[in-house]
Amino acid sequence: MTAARWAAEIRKMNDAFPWFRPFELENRIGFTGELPAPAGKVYSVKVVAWKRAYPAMPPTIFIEPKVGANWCADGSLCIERNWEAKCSFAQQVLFAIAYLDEQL
Amino acid sequence: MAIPAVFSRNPDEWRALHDKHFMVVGNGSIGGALALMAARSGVGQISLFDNSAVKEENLGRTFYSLATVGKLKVHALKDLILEVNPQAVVSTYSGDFRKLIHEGFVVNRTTSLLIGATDSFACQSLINVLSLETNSPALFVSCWGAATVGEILYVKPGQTPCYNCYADFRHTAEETVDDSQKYFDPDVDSTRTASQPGLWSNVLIICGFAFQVALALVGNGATAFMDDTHNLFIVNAGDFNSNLPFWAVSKGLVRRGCAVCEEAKSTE
Repeated sequence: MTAARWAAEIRKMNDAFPWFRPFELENRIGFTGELPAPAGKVYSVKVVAWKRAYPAMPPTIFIEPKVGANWCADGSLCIERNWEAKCSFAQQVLFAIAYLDEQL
Repeated sequence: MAIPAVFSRNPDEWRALHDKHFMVVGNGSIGGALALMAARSGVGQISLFDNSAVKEENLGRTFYSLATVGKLKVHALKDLILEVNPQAVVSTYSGDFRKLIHEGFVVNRTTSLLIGATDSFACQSLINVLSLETNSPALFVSCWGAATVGEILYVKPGQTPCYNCYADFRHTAEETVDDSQKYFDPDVDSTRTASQPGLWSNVLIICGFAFQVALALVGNGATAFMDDTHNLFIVNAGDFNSNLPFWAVSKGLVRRGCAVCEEAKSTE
């Protein structure tokens, strides 16, 4: 992950989901925020990627509390997602929204 | 410096290669063969990366023997290299390559060539990242269709398309190993391709061509075949039914510039 790419990701997330906050750990990077659902429920969403692997490899999506049965052993959302290196973190939030929409 | 007797039949290669350092990721049929070709040609330093052990099913198409079944491939391969050239400096890494890279592994400045011979798209992509980070040439070798077709891609950072320029489509195009593992194993690599049958002789044909590319990349071989735009070579080692010329190498054009190697293409 280059600085330019990270800056572009933050810009894009600010445009699409401005309440999502960027975070940076030692070797991972991502965004976290909340998604409202019907009946006043709120789901916490985290989209995380390995710094060195991104954007060659897609980020993983974590949703809490979990709904449905599509979860990998690491606790991430286990659904088919098309990924290309030009895709973005913001698109992953769309996948989370679509998944919640389908499950709720 | 006196030429060691082992290399008296390839003294020019030894002179050019004894101070070279190859990093070979994936020590199965392809990586193992390339590492031994490197050792026999005189490459003085070889780093081996693989987290699996030799199984009986590997013996039909590797240099490993029954005596090495159960042994880590990196250790079995190191022994084979040292049996040829005891002076070689061989380092071994038997952990998960993805974790190693995520945890900050950096390529040694002495590394002359990175070789990606894994069955994992994630690992090949990380080798590409290392190549781009350090401006080191990289060679990606794989075989398909029961080892009848070989795929050889070389990368010169800044000059050629990178691995992801070519292979980004693999995110969805591959048949991966037992997919259900992802529900049980948090460390599963779901980008690995499933094992396929294939003959050792075909693998060696493919590796023979790939090693010529390796030599050219480190400045010890003919380079006329490298124009840096057609950096993909398809080797037909035994596919009688395809349109590819039989027992021949075809050049492939790869479009340069993906979001991994060009910042300008950051996000759409």
